[in-house]
Amino acid sequence: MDSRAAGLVTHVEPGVRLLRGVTLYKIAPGVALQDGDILTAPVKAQVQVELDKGTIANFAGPGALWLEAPTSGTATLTVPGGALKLVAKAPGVRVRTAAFDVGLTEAIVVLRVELAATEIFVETGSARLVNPTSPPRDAKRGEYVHKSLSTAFAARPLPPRTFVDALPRSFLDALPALAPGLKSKAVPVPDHDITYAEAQPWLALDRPTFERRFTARLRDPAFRKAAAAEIARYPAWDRLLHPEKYERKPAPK
Amino acid sequence: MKLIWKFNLVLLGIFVLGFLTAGYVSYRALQDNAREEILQNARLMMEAALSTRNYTSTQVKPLLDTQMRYKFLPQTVPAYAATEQFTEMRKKHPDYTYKEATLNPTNLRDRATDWEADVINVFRGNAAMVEVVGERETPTGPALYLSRPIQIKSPACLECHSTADVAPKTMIDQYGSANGFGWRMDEIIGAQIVSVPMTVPIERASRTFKTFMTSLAAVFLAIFVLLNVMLYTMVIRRVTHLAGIADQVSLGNMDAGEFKSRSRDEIGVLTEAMGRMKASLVQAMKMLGA
Ligand code: HEC
Repeated sequence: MDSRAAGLVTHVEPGVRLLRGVTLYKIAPGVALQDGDILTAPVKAQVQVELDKGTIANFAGPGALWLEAPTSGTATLTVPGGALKLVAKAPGVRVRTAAFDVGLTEAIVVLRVELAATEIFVETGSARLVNPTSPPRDAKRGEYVHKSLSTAFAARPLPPRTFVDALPRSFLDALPALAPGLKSKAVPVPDHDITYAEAQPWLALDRPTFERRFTARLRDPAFRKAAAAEIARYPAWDRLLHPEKYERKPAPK
Repeated sequence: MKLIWKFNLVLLGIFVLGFLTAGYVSYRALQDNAREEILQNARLMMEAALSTRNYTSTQVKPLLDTQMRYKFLPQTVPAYAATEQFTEMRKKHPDYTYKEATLNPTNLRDRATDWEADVINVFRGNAAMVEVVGERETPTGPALYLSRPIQIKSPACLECHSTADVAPKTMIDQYGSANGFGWRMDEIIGAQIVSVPMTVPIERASRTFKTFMTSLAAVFLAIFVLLNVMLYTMVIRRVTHLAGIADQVSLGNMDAGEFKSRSRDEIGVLTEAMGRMKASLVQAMKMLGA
């Protein structure tokens, strides 16, 4: 892993794409990940990422995983949807979902994330669950916690069957570290630039960040046309596309 | 009584005695063999069950430890593994059964029936007893059963079998908290019972017995017939013939026939001697008459 790599892709199933900058790439095991990379996975496809210091994340679609790994501080995985099994090693990792955030140092957890609800099961260790509207809460080994946007944290001493059955079967086994067995590096192969439809969920998730990131795509007429239809949602782009609207009117005489 | 009758009476006596003795001895040996074979089968099944139990606890269970955090997998339970293995085997050999018969089982399919409970109570009543072997009638014929006690020897068992509140929650979720608890250290809670059908080996032994006795009878019959034929042709017929001539000669009929034999055996020698005796008699008579 080179020094600026944030992680390494160690397992990829068909259909998984890497969104880096504004481009979607096909990837293979051995691809190094950078800060800001996003992995998308279709239904049932799995991708495994191994971060520095032995943290392993196995992600199963349908959904996406957004990796932020600043040079200092802990990595953050943002999961708008999908299932994630995480083996966290110190200094730990943070997972962001719509319903709550999870802080982990030494723990193994499994998460199932839907648009407005998140379930977590703590296999070993403990997880700190944080949400702006409720006090933080620690989930212990063996505990299952569920929360939706509209409900409070609800814990159970064992995972309900519906949750377990919805997980990929391999999540029930220990996650193997695959990085040591990887022989060679791989480079991402560009597939296509992100379309407006693909960009929309990210813009909805974190508008300022992705407005900035996808600005370059406004050069594409198709993208610009689609964005223009909903331009009221994107002030930064509106300012760019229609600077005249924002020119300071000369003061009336 | 005629010679042939005396001879046949003795021969028959010997044959009957021999037939009965051989019959008794071989019947016992064949039946004992069959039983031994059945018992051997049962022992082998018991060993197979114990191996499955060991394999499950040493090799399968560790692999499933992580999965067990999510849901209870009976595949990690040695008793379950052994029972399932035999369920699979019974598809081909429905008369063979294996059961971990238990007085208060976790899985109700393991509950001891009346006669099984009796066996368990024999073990409970006598801690030194290591094995009980017996026979029993089943709808498909007689069966031999071999049983060994199941005793709680490790505190690890009590994690799942003592009280519901110390048992893994995933297990309670699946099995409930009503059965299979309250077992105590060193208690004999049940018995492994292997049941093997006896019909086939016993039938095979009977078939072998019948074949053996039939051939023995056939051999006796052949010997009987042959001895009679020989006795008649080689002794009786010739002696009768000899006696007839001798009778005539004694009455003075010297033309009754010649004492002549082609054979050099004892009767041949006797015939020759009688021939010479007759010649001497004729000679003597001639001298008297002269
Ligand atoms: C992890 C929990 C667990 C442990 C530890 C455990 N058992 Fe069990 N045992 C079970 C379960 C569950 C079953 C029922 C399996 C089935 O569905 O057949 C069972 C079944 C049995 C049975 C068959 C009768 C019945 O209850 O259905 C016997 C006998 C038995 N166990 C003996 C033992 C002994 C002896 C030990 C210790 C060496 C032991 N068990 C340890 C969970 C456990």
